Amino acid sequence: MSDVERTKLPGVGDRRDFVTQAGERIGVVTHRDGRRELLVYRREDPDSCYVVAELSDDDVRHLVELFDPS
Amino acid sequence: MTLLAAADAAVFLELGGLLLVLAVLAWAGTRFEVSTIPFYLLGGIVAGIIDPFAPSEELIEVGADIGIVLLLFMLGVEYSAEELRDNLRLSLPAGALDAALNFSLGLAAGLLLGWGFTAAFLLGGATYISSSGVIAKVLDDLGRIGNRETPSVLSLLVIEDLAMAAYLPVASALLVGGALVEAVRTVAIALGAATLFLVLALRYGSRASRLLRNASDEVLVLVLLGAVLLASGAAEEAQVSAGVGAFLVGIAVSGSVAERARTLITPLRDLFAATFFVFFGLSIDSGELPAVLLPALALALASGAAKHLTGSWAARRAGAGRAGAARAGTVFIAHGEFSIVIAGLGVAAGVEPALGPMVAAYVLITAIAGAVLTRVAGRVRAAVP
Repeated sequence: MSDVERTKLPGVGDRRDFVTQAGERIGVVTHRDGRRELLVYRREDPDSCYVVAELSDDDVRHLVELFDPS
Repeated sequence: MTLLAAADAAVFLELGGLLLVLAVLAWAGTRFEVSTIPFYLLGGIVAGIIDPFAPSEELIEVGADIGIVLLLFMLGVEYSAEELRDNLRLSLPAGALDAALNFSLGLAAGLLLGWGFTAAFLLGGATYISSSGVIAKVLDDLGRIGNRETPSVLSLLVIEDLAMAAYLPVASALLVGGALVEAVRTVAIALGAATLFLVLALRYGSRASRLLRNASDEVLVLVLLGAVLLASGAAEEAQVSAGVGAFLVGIAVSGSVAERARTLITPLRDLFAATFFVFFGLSIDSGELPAVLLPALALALASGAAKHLTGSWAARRAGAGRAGAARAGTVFIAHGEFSIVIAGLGVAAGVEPALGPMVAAYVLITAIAGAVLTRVAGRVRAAVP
């Protein structure tokens, strides 16, 4: 996780993203009001996202559980 | 016993009707996924032709003035002093190109139309300042907040925001007029006061905001509105323009207080700003509209091209690809609230009868065309994988 890129978004919040081992760029936008969005970038146009999903705290917990059921 | 006199009843009926019409206009703007501003403007222009607001016009005018003040206050709250400073450092070249191209275009257009220098200077401001409200909304609606060209667009908006702090005092000094020496002195005083306040806000803004950290919502709303109106009145009294005072107070507000100010004041801002846009539509001479339509279209084309150039150049410099640059360029075309605020200064001072209609037509064209074009730019790329 050392290569997470952090970008400030003036007036919006900030964005953190990284490239997965499979070569996909994934990120999270945190809005100033606390809203969070999961981003998955396009391969053919690496500037834009084809997934923008707003996730609540519960959603994030669910997602983590799905990855790591125990 | 009745508390309402008959005259009040008439005012209530008119204001109630006005708010319901605003609601329909806002619904239409949301429905067609364009900003609500062009709809408010059109509503005001139509109302100006029918003229239904005779007794309550004064009340609407006060509401409109509060609208200007709150628009500029929220613009100041939008970015912290640190964000202003950091972005100024990062995006100065693109910001300078933006100002040089887009301000000159409006200024030149005004002079070409044979207007006085003050009116042309206001038109320059109107073509320079893009609509941060419209652009932020379009970016969010289209899911582009996370896009990698987006920071460069936001950064340009921050610089325009900062430029407003210098532009407004100069504009109001020009409007006061008088001899050249006096005008230069007024401008110098205004700029000096604005700079001093900005420095103070950078230094002590967070400390002042910390004092209010534990205040209740009720107290905070009253403190903020009170401070904004006081600063606006003082600025107007010093002939610096009420908006500058409000804007500077907005910048001084920071941290968690700024966050709460956004939640608490935004609904009030929306209400009064809508009143202001309608009032602006009402107060322009609609008879002048047909005559300015072609010049406004030409100006929108030229400045649209210049905005596109600036936006895409900034995105390119930040490392975006061709598609990203096209999206950044097109989203940057939309003009709105601040073009109208600037033109409103001139209309209130009565500098040039064609200025109001010209800017109204210009905002209508760019707000709608900008929203449509940037959708097209996004789709074209999506179709070619």
